[in-house]
Amino acid sequence: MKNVIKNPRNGCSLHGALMTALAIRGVTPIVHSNSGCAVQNYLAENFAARLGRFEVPGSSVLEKQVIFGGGSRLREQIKNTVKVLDGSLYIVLNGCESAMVGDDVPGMAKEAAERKEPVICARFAGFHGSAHHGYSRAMWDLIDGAASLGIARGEESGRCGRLVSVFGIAPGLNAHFRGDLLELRRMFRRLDAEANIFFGPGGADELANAPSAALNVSFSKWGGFVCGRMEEKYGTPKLEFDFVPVGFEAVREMVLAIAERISPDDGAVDDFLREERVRFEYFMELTDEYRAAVIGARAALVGTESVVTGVGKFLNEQLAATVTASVITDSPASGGSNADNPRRSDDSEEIEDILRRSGADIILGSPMEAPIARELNVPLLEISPPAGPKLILGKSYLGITGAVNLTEDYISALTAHKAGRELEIALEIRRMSQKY
Amino acid sequence: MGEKIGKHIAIYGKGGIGKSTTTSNISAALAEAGYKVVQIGCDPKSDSTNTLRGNRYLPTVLDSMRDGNAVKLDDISVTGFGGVLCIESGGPVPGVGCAGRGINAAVTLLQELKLFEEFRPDFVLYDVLGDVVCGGFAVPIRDGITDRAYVVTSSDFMAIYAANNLFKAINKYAPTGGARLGGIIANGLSAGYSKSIIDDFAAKTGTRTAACIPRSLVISQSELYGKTVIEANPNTEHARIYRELAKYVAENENLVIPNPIGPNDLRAWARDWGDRIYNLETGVVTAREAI
Repeated sequence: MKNVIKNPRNGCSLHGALMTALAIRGVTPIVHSNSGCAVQNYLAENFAARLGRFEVPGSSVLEKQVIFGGGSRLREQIKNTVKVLDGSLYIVLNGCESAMVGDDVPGMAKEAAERKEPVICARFAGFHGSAHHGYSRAMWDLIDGAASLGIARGEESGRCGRLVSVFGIAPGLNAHFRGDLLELRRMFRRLDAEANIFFGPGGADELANAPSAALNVSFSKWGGFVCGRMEEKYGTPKLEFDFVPVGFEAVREMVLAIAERISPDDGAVDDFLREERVRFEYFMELTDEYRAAVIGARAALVGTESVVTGVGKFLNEQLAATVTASVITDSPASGGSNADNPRRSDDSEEIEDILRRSGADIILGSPMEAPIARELNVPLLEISPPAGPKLILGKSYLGITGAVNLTEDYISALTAHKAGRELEIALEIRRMSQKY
Repeated sequence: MGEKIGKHIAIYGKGGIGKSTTTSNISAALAEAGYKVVQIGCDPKSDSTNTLRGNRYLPTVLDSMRDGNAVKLDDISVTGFGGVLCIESGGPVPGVGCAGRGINAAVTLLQELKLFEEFRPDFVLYDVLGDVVCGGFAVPIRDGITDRAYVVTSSDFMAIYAANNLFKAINKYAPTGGARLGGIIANGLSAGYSKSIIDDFAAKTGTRTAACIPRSLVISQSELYGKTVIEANPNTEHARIYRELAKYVAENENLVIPNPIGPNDLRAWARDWGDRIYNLETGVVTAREAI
């Protein structure tokens, strides 16, 4: 195993939980740790942190709280936070010290709950795993915590037959999570179902609805964890996909599997799939000539397993790309061989080596691949977190909408890059001719 | 830390085994012999130096730190029997916070307050709580704070188990400048075979028994008077034993890195002693019996 890991892209569980909580409207996180933990999150998220909000109340513990316990500092922080920051649900997120010292965080949250303040706590700390782990545990704690406070809805009326919750697409997991989730919501509505997407306009209300959903759908193993817990405790059936669906075939596979579980009205599935097929084929036909120009382009992918799988399949089947390297970053395992495809790594140096050997004409990855793309003089298409300086609001790389966007961006990246190189050559020729 | 002033000695052992009693009597005996001594209780209970200061009130280092005021040496120390400077690190209330980190912070503060430069002791004794359960409790034997440690144990298995754990910690830290072991102080011995058990444990771990202190009413009585044996009963056999131990601690330079016994071997060793004690009680005699 290597001794040095260069620029790992996965933060800790606290980081993942904080991104999750901040992205749910109405949820206010309270970080119980030293102040650096929250600041680190702000820095790691770069510009993306300024998208939305970044007021993070925190106990900012010092050595005093480590020695004597930080319980009373947290109590004070909870009381003041509830007074000055709005929230329909507050969640205490733990740093490492409080867990090591054994602060009674659940006790402090319970005290607040007894005062009728909607405060819960996460049942994990920063050191429990990666940011992805943090997302999955935070989602579960938020839903289960909201239920424990009695603010869950729909219990009297039983299971809501047309409500579906979506897991496994989240900030930090997916670069286009907002757009992807809104696209899913649009699709579910066509199947007569309403979707809890959590990271959208609905926010915390959807956490309260979640235990009564008829079905939980996951698009990554991280979402799978939440679905597993929901099934155990609330008996909610689950449906797990290990890919993000891009393009008509993937959408069809997803829609048929979901329809089998939620039984939409007669004809809804056929109507919807027919429309989606027509829309998809329309755009594909429009781009015939463009697609022909990029046939056989060699693509290298870097990102989470479900995105790399979904996007890779679409590139291969619809855009006739050859995926020469896939690097999965959300569950790195050490000791992979160079021949493995996909490879698993969180180490930027190793990832750059893989990309260097891939012979790729285009890299689909995160802004962290910008230096190697520049070095190899190939275009970079951003499909993965962490977020960079580029503003991503409602754009989606999921479904038919996502397939159209991806086709547009993929082909544009290749053709613009080619045009740029041709322009450079033309300018060089002009410079040389002027010289003589 | 710069120049080391005085010999810094850590005393460890299982909770309730008599560390504070032993440490205070060593301090008292050293003071009686004319040395300048500091005793630092590294225990949230903050009762290490009770018998040296006649139960006089002493604010702990961490209590003073918690109040947030600038701490002065005078606020957190009191002169006890024979001029021994008594200090208690203190710590969090039971069940809260991190006592290990507390010890670390208290010792660091004492260094910052230039305790040793001001007082210029010949000996500094650190009476460290309980077992070495995590890194925090090993602080006094790391980082060059002390250069020698003694362990107090009875012949009970759990006390020996705790001693063996300390040996593991010493074994780990000594190669990088941590403290070495001065010896084992056998305390509260009553049965005839107790000394043999401890001597055998010392032999197995490559260490030595520094002293054997039999169980005695004199110790209990002195404690009830709020005094050390040296002060309350200076002419007794126990006072003599403590003086001898203090002399040993003062002069001993034979410091070793112990070889702790592995968990299974330790259990096998204990079982073997169990059999031997049973045979003794039931009258079985074997050749070369050590007891």
